[in-house]
Amino acid sequence: MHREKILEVQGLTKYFPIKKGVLSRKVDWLRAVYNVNFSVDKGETFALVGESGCGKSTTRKLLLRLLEADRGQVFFKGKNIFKLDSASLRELRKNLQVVFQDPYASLNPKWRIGSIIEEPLRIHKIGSPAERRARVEELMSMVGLYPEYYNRYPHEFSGGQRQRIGIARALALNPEVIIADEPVSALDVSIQAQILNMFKNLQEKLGLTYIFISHDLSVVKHISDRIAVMYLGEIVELASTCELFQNPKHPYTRALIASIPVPNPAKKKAFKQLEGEVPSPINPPSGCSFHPRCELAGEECKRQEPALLDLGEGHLIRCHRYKEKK
Amino acid sequence: MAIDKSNKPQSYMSLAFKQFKKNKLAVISFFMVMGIMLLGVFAPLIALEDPITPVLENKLQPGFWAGNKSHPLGTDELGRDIFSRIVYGTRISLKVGYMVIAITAVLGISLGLISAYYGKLIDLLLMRITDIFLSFPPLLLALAVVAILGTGLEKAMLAIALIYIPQMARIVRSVVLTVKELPYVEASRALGAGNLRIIVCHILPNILAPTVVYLTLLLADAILYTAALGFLGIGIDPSTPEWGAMLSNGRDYLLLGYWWVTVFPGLMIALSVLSFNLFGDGLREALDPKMDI
Repeated sequence: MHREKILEVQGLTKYFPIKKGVLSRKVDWLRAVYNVNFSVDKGETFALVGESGCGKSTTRKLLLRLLEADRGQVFFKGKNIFKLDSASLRELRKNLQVVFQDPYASLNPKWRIGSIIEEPLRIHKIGSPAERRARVEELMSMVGLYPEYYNRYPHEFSGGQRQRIGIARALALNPEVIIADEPVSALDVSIQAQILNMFKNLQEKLGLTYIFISHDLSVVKHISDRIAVMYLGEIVELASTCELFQNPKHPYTRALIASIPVPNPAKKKAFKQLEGEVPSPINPPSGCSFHPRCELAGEECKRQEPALLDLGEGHLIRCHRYKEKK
Repeated sequence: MAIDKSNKPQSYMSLAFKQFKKNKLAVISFFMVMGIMLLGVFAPLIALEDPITPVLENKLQPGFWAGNKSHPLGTDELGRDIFSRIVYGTRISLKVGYMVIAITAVLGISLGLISAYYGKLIDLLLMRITDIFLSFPPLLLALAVVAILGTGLEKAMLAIALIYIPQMARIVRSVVLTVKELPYVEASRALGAGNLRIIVCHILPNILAPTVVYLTLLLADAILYTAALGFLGIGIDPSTPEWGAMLSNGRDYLLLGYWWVTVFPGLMIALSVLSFNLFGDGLREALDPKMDI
């Protein structure tokens, strides 16, 4: 089946300066995102997974051009989004929307939810007030909210309902791609399932493409087609969901998958937990950034940065010694 | 959640109002504040005596406690009715207070917003300038400004406003710094909103609560500083019925037994400052129970 690339990321890199003192001297650099490459096909769900601080959310901001990247390019339907002027950037924003992690902070507490969902339509001057109202009510029923709630305020809703409001807002402009940054991590498990199912249904109905950012592999397993695992700002492994879970190659991915709790008390934990802490992104380790915690690490890992290897069928990995087993 | 389709939204304001009503002290202070304002607005109807022209044959008469019906709070050293002067003084204090609030609000909010929103060099520059102003003792700063600009009610207002603009800018800046990083601001930017839209629609409404509270508390302070400037005899023309000036004039007669010349203006200053402060406190609790200034 022919797949159309909708988003392509090449060598995306972002460092943050660390400033000190009255004169804001730059004393150091924090490596937030480092040489990230991936592409997303139309209609698929692409997941970015990693622990907190690994650069997932910075990647999101770079993709939306809320931050300027230091190096690298992002192509949306063949157009380099870092080179767009402000008018085309507005057009791009229509097609690239975002759903946030915190359903409490992502809605302006002073606005009625009708206005919140209507905001994108007003910004882009779409339709008359009556048409916009009709569209908002349509969106509300699409995400499972009563249109009667139009005049209510965000504080009158539960977390799950607020997340639905956020999703309705993201859908208002009929975007092609939605970046969901930890959309369910702030919700109860029962609500998580509801929201994830809603994401799936909306994808089928509207042909959406998702970039799904999460720290939780078990959440991602249910919704995504392909998964990229990030560690210290780098993508260390990228594969289809099925391949990644059945045949994880990178020692970090293996540790992550092994750490997913299994609801079976008879099954004992057979894996060795990862030792140590994530190294500071201010002075990332030399060579492979995972080597201080890796059980397979050898001499070359300390010295040389591993390249992204293609193992075939889109399974990419950044590791020198993935062939070795322990 | 039970399915409640009734279309009665609980707005932020109605919740705040409910909260405010629970606080008895705040409600009482609200009525006192309203009373003081009405006193100022209807001054010519309440105070029938001329507050400015001296009537020397009536000087230093005691008030109602001595059975004086025409001058209930007595007369001052120039024979002017103290009650009328206090009522007219309300106008002056409120006028100065509100003008100071207006100037401070406009300049303080704009400076704080610009400083926090655009950051970098502008922030550095504006904040160092506010530092300079904040490094002076407030009353000294006001005195210096009056000394430079000369006396007059308008100049006194400006001098007092200049004390508060840097403080207001600081408060607004700190709130904007938090608000501008919130996801709903980012969401709006991701939707394609411009700076102006984000400032007006998202940031301003959400910094309103601390700003309004600060401004209400400022009114009391402004009344106090006006009185202080009046007391020191600068800023305001001596014949003007200004509470601080009245207090100052009566000082010489206090030890001679003519206590009413000083006590009533003093009481009025205390009462109005207290009510505006209590009102501001009540407002703060109602608007945001978590907030501390």
